[in-house]
Formats: sequence, C-alpha cells, structure tokens
Amino acid sequence: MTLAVAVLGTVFALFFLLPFVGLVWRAIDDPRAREALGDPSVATALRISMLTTSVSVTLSLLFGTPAAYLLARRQVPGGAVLDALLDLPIVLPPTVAGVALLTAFGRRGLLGEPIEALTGLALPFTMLAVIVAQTFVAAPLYVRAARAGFEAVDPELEAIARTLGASRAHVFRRITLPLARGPLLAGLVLCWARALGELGATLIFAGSLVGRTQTLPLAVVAAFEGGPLGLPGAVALSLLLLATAVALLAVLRLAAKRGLT
Amino acid sequence: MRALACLILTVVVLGVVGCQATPSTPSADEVNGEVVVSAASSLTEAFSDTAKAFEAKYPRTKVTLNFASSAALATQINEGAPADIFASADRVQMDNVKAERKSAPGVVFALNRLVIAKPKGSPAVATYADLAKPNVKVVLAADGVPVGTYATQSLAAAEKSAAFGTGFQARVIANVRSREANVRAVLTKVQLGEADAAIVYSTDVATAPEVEPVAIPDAYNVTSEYVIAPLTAGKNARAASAFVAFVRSPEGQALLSQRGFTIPAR
Repeated sequence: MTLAVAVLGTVFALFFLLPFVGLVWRAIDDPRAREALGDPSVATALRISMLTTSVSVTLSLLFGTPAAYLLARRQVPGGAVLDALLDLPIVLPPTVAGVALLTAFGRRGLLGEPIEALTGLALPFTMLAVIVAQTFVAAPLYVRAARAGFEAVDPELEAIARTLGASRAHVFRRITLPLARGPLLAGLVLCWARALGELGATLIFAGSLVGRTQTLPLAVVAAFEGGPLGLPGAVALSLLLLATAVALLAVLRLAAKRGLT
Repeated sequence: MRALACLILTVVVLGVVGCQATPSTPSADEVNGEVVVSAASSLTEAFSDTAKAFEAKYPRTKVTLNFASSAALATQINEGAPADIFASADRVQMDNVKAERKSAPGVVFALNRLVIAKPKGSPAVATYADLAKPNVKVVLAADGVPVGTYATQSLAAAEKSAAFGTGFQARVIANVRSREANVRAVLTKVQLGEADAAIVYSTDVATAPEVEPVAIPDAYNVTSEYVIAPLTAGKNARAASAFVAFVRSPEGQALLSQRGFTIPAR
C-alpha cells in the first residue's frame, strides 16, 4: 500500500518535473536557443507582454475590487447571476472567449459594428484588443480570490468602525483592505499569470503582429510554426515565460508567508 | 560457415532491395492499416477527397489527416511526429525536413496561384494596388508559412514594376494587421469581416462563401508548388508509397483538379 502510494507519487512528480527539465536542457544544449534570447523580436514580445498585462491587471483591480466587495457583502440585485457570469471565463476554453469577443466587439460584432460606423475605430488587431482579451479571461480569477478575501473579513469589525465615526471609504481602506490583503495579492498574482499566458483568445480576437499584438505566448507559436526564430526561438521564449512564472509564484509564496506571520 | 553467413547476408540484402523495388501500385490486399498524412492547410478539402477515394480503392486502409501550416508540420516531423506522409505547400518546408526523416525525395504533385480574398461586397479593395491604400486592414500568413512567403515574393515583384513603384511593398506591409499561423486562419479573418483583404491561394477562396476574390495580375503572381514525400517515422511504408502513387495517379490528379489545383506536367 505504502509502496503503491510512493510509486504513484513519484510518477506524478516526474510527470510535472520532466517537461521543465526538458525545456531547460534544450535551452542549454542548443546554442541557437541562447542566441535567440538576444534577438530583438524577443525583447519586443516581452515589452508587449509587460505593457498589456500591466494594463489588464490594473483594469482587473479597478473594476474587479468593487465587484468582489459587493458580491462578498451580497448587496447587489442579481448578484448570483454576476457571480456565475464571472466564473464562466475561468472554465471556458480561451478560444471560445476569443470567438465570443469577436461577436461582441469585432467589426461585425453587436457593439463593434455601430462603434466603427460612428467613429471609424475598430478594436480587433490593436493592442487594446490584447488587453480586452487578457482582462476577459484573467479578471475573474482576481474577483474570485478577492471575493473570498472580503468574505473572510468580519462585517462586525466594519460596523464597529462605522459606529466610531469612520466613513465607508475610510473603513474600506483601513479595515477591510488590510485584512483581505493576502487573498487580494494571491488573486492579483493569479490574474497576472493568466493574463501573461493568454494565447487562444488573443490569437482569435487580436491577431498576431510583431510590435503590436504579438505577446510572448503568441511569439512562441509564431516561432514554433516556422517563424524566423524557429524551434530554438520557441524554446528560448518558453524559458523566458517559465522564469516569469517562477518569479510570480515566488512572490506569491513570499507574500503568503508574510501574511501568515 | 563463412560461406553460409555470406549467403544469408546476400539473401537478406536482396530481400530488402527487392522490397524497395516493389512496383508503386501493389494489389489492394497488400496495402492495409492506418496512413497518417500531414498536409498543408490549403489541401484540407482536396486531401479529404483523396483520402476517401484512397480508402475506397484500398478498403483495408484508414487515412488519418493532419492539417496545419507546412512550416508547423515540418517542425513536428523533425521533432519525431509519427506521420507517414508530408504534403508541403512549398519546397522550402519540404527541404526543412531533415533528409533522414524522408524515405524518398519530395515530388511536385499540384500547383496553385495567389489571389486576394476580400469580404463579399466589401468596397475597400478592388485591385491589387488597393492593398497599399491607407487604412486598409490587410492580413497575411506568418513568416515561413508558405503562403506568407509567396505573398512576399508577389509584393516584391510588384514593387519592381513601374505600375506600382517603389514603396508599394512597404505600404502594404504597413497595412498588415496580423500574421496568421496558416492560410486558413488568414482566410477566417476575411470571412469574419475583420480583415479588408488577405493574400491566399485561389483554391481557398472557393471554400468560403462569405469571401470573393480579387485577381493578382499574372506579372506579379506566383505559382506555388505542392511537394509530397513519404517519411521514415511512419509505421506503414507500403501504404505510404501507395498513397503518394495514388495522389500522382490520373485519378488522384483529377480530384485535385476538381478543387481548383493545377496539375503539373509529368
């Protein structure tokens, strides 16, 4: 019994370990992969990724925090619907999200068509489209974590502070936010990681163009599918994304540790 | 003892050589099992027809089709993907497949031409020159994807002519909004109405009712060559060579011709 558990556990661990070992090994083994890391197009993709994810995470915080708070305190009519709606992008395949975004904000979309008719502006193929795609798939992760964080804050504490004369905004800033800090940060990191890894919705909704909409994951696909960087480029870009993911996880772990103490 | 070893060796060698020398049209019973065909996206409909006809001719076979850009397929094959056949939309990607991965050199089996695809009734683009008009949303295939390479060749040819002039290519490239992974992804952007124009194969336009063609003049057009080769990673060498032979047979060529491909002179 113990042996079976040990074997299953080892196999499971190896299953997750080997792909990363393979990636690192390939990057070390193939000098072209290291060369590709220095290619200007890699820096461009990194810049696009950082720029777009910064904006989409900011938008997620800006719109997601009030939504999460309202959902946690159940003060919204139709809150259950909003709750279910926000879960949908988490379980939905990103490619479906991309198609759905086109039907709403594309040039022939419900909102996209009248907007283009009025202003001449179209969303697809722009950096804004990348941000929209990222926000659509990633913000729900933040809202979910933030909502759980707010729910864990005792409403009594907020009520007491209110009786002592603090304004609602003051209570939120000084009582609620600090108490929910851990889950909020965890949500932020998850949201950022998801936005950084976004591929399917972006490819369909925003397309792929170097210097405009081609983020790191899209650059991996372009390199793999015969782009000038080739497979070594795909390996190099993957390594870069892996390093970013590890860094994000490290931040999360560190914050969790500090939150516990 | 040594003589015996020599004899055995000779028999084995003769046997192997004999196998390779088998005529390319074996009987229907000898050809069986699964044949995995990795083919360029633009062959989607044509090779679906081919597979059906091949299975009808060799009832004990099952053809599995895998469509993607030739560039992506070449990468997969070099990484050891277990395909029996590679049908590439250009020579470049066939040459990118390492020699030891191919069990026979590639042969040209079909030709195609480039055309501009635009959403039906869209006024944005009426001629090839219109691709360079300001604010026309153009979508091309990515670098390395054959139709992207051919499109670049065509634009470069136009650039050299007096009718289009210097800067034409740069103006079109400035209009490019996206570089898609394969020709069908390019076409989809036009079908959706997101792109005003795209450069695809003439055979692709026929598959999309929402799209209409704008001709690219012969002087700037490019004839694309489809190249097919059996692969060493495949498990079914006999069926693979039968498939290649079938594609190049009058019956196979007629199927391609029905889908709008041009048949190369033999």
